[in-house]
Amino acid sequence: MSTSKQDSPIQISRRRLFGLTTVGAGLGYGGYRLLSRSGGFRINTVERPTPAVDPVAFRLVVDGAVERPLTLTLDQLQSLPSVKQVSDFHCVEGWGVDNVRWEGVRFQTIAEMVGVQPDAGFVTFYSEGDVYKDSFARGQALLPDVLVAYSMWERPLEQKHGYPLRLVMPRMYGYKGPKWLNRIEFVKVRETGYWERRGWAIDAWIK
Amino acid sequence: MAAGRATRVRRFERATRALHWLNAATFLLLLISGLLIYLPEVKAREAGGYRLVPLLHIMIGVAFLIGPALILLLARGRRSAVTDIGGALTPARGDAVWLNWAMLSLLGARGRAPRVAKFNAGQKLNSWYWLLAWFALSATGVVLGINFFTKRVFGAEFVESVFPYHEIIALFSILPLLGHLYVALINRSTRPALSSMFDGSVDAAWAGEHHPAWSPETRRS
Repeated sequence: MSTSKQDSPIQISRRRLFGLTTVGAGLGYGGYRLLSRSGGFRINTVERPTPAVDPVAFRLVVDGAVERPLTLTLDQLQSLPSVKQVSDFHCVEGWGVDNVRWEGVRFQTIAEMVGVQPDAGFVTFYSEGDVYKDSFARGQALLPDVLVAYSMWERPLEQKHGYPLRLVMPRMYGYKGPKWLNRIEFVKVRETGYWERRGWAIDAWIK
Repeated sequence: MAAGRATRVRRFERATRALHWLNAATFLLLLISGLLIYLPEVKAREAGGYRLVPLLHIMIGVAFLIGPALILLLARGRRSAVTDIGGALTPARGDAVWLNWAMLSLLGARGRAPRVAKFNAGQKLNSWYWLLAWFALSATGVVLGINFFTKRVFGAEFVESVFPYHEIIALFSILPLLGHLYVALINRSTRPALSSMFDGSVDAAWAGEHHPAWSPETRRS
């Protein structure tokens, strides 16, 4: 408060105390930011750079062994019947995020629109950037909680979370849900996904 | 004081130093590789179908886990290391007084240090912290490491409940690490002790002043 504190035993230490407090606060804040960024999500991507999708030019292509191939703009997709869904997200790395609020179109809805041919036993999902893809048996993809999601926690997906679209498959680990989803292909022979080529489980059910 | 100008006192034998440096090296590498995992671009680097940095992190973690045990079980002169660990973990009567003195000194107060033996209370706190952190990080690390290779052993919910502890303890450990580096490298009055982690000895005068109840020259006075 005043300048006449030269005899105070705390005089010299203030700087040191300030330094220690600053370092401690900085570490604490940095750690907190690291842990809490993206609501507990850690960002994983093999697409480099992170795809930056122009929402006007964007098209979702649904093709392959179907009766009526489909190309949807983002507006068209978002005008389809949508669902809100709260589900836990589990990453194969050992972290998870509980109660993620998604909004999007049920994969079932899209499958009905295109008319899947009877012998199309599998579905491949592609990411913008052409590096990442993953696949499901048709029955797995048609589970009612599989979504083509465009919103997370009542906001459009952030770029690092897959803007504008990502696949949500709550019953399997997160690597089964490609981000920056831009193509869905129904096929007769199963495609091997990015991580499955590296030995990861094809059917990544969560125990 | 004058007696010890050029004389040295033996402080840490080879096994103790090996244990310290193995812990220090593996922990630092684990900290660095662990922090690198926060960067998506670095985490995504692959080698032989595995993600390189997490794999390295786990391999260093194995050394962090079993290295100390190997030294304590197999190294020649391991008995001295066991004695040092015991000394650095055993509370003594004057520890509270010493801590009180140390805190006040940090705040700028002056006063005579209580007589301490080979390990003062700060060193003991440091030893206890790292022992507990070693247990906690190893135990949680084993779960996460096994989960890295197979999902058959632990359930997802269990692994996810362990994950934050591994992370928070590791991040918190940066603080005691910085404190340790401060007294070892920067703080003028404790800096002379650093040599005992290299050649095993400290200046006799320094030992007499800082560890009078241990130093051969001042022990009985």
